[in-house]
Amino acid sequence: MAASVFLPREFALAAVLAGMVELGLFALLVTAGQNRAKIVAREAPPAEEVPIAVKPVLDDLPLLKLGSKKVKMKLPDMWTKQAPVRRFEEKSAPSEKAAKTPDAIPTTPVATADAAAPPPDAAIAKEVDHQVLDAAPPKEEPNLATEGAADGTKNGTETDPLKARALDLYKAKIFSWFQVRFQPPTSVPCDVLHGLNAAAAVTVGADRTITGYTVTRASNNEVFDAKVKSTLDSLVGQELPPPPPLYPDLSPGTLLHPILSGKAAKCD
Amino acid sequence: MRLIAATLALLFFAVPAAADAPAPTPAAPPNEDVLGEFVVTGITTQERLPKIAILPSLSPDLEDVIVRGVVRRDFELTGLFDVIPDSKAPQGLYGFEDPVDVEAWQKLGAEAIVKVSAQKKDANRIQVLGIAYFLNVGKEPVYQKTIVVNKTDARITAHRITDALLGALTGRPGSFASELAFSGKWVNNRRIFRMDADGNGLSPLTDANDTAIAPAFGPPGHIYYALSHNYAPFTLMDYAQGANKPILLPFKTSIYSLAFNKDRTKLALAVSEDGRSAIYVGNPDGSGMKKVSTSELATRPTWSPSGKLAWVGGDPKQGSQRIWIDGKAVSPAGFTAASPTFCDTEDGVKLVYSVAVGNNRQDLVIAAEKGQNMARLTQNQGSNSYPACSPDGRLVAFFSNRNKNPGIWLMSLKSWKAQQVSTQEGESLTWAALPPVPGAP
Repeated sequence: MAASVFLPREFALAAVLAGMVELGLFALLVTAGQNRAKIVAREAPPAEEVPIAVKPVLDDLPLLKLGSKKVKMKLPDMWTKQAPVRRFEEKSAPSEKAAKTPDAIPTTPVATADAAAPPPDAAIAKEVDHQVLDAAPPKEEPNLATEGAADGTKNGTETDPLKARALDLYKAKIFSWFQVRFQPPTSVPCDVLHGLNAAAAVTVGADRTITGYTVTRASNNEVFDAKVKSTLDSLVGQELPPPPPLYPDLSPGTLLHPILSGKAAKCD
Repeated sequence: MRLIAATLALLFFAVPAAADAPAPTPAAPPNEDVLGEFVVTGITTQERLPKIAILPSLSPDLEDVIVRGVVRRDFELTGLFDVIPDSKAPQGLYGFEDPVDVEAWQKLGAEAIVKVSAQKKDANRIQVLGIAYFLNVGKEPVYQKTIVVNKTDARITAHRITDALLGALTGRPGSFASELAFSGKWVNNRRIFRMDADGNGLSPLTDANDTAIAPAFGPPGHIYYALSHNYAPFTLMDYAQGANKPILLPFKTSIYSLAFNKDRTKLALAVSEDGRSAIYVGNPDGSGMKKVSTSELATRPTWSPSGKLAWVGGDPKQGSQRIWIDGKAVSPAGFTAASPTFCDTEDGVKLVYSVAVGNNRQDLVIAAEKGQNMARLTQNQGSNSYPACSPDGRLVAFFSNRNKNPGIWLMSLKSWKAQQVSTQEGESLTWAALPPVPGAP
């Protein structure tokens, strides 16, 4: 029997040392999860409600009045049979784009040369025994208490869509009439000019001639206010554009409220 | 601790918020004016033309093709709309009685849809349909008209349909049911020609052996003009229904030009007088003539819709001629002005005339009715002369040699777009509405 290389006490010491290392590592693992180095999944912060200002943009057109065509009160119509859905038979039509293979041969019968195409949303069937030609029943129009447009609003005032459009065009013409007659001063620094505006009340005579004005709110900038005054002075005596001939009753009113502003002035 | 921090944070943010809050103001009274407040910035932008769809015609019927083609061309000539090209038309049926696929056109950006169609009623008559939709109003048409007319009236009916549709779309009816007249060169002479507003149907009205100048539209269906035969003085003539007859006047000298007022109850004549010319005003039959001009030379009279009389006047010593209105020169001094005419536009009555700009060229200018606020209509586009306004005041017709394409051009007073309608050259262009027809749209 060969003599052992290690002494028994060396084995014992090695076992004790190995056990201490193992215990040290175990202790390290246990403590690592409980100190500041521990990586913790961060939760996303809950969304905060941020209030925003909503400024509704109104259409220039006067709102159409909600209503319908004026229909006299009447008893309900007699019940009528609902028209059946018209179905179209599935048919093939010759095409230059068809592939020249046996698989491409259509299985459905070929349509006659002068046959009209079915509507895009038509109901298609393999075989149609009976050709339904009945027209669909007329759509019942709403019968509201007031005259107006079906897609109008309750607050609407205008019942004639043509007049509503003509009024819109006439208003645009008057705005444009004022636009071409005002030029913001060029001697005011741009950053100042963009923040200036002045409000006026312009009086209009029965013949659409501008009879006078009052500056209701000055800009408090001497140069800008002088320009506003000279512009308004030059308008007195001038005649506003006439209303469209088909609507001579349209009028710009007797008092206009322009706000002369430098916010869009171009500064070189 | 957390409670203290939250309280401090709330206090920190609440102070500036309270400072920014507007001071309570008394409620403003409701604005009951038609227009309300509006902001004037002085910045004028190019007006956006509304997109419009004119439904195409797939019908083989000639009358349908004519009616639809005429209406489409008229709408293009107005310069008021961006007409969607046929190539972008959605697939579908476009027959006389086929419904309009409003949604498909809406997807193309159309703000309005116009459908016109025609079909045979019997051997000699056709049925013409005109419909307009506003897509912001709904799917129901806002205008619809069906009329039956003679087959030969397909073109003029299409013009009348256009005029009615323009009235529905803008509140101002169109004036394509109208005709232009002018004096055009014919070998060594000049003849009076007429044509439709879109340049169709050009035809001479006077004999090729005479010299005819200065046409003017008189009472409905009549065209008056000055005529010289064998170098004799120019006399006043009346053309109606293919016949020309002289109008007796108390003048033995030449008539240079003439004009009727709006309701055709007054006739103004430029009459040769002692080597000069003067303006006389009287009745359409030539009676009651009285001299009204105050300038030394006076010719080319024209009336404004409000009854003002303008003419070209001048002093030969000064070497320039100016536009005079009711006895007062209104065009700028030093510029040779000619061919005044008045336009009853959407912006009110305007004076349009030509000004010599050198190199044998003329340009058109537009001004207020009394001549103020003058602005150029043409510049660096050849020579532009003899303006005539459409009866609805939307278009100006004039002779121009721009783009090396001499002829008659129409310019929109809305979009300033000019389009050629004829290759005829001439002078003394005039434009008037056709007499109304009972039952027309």
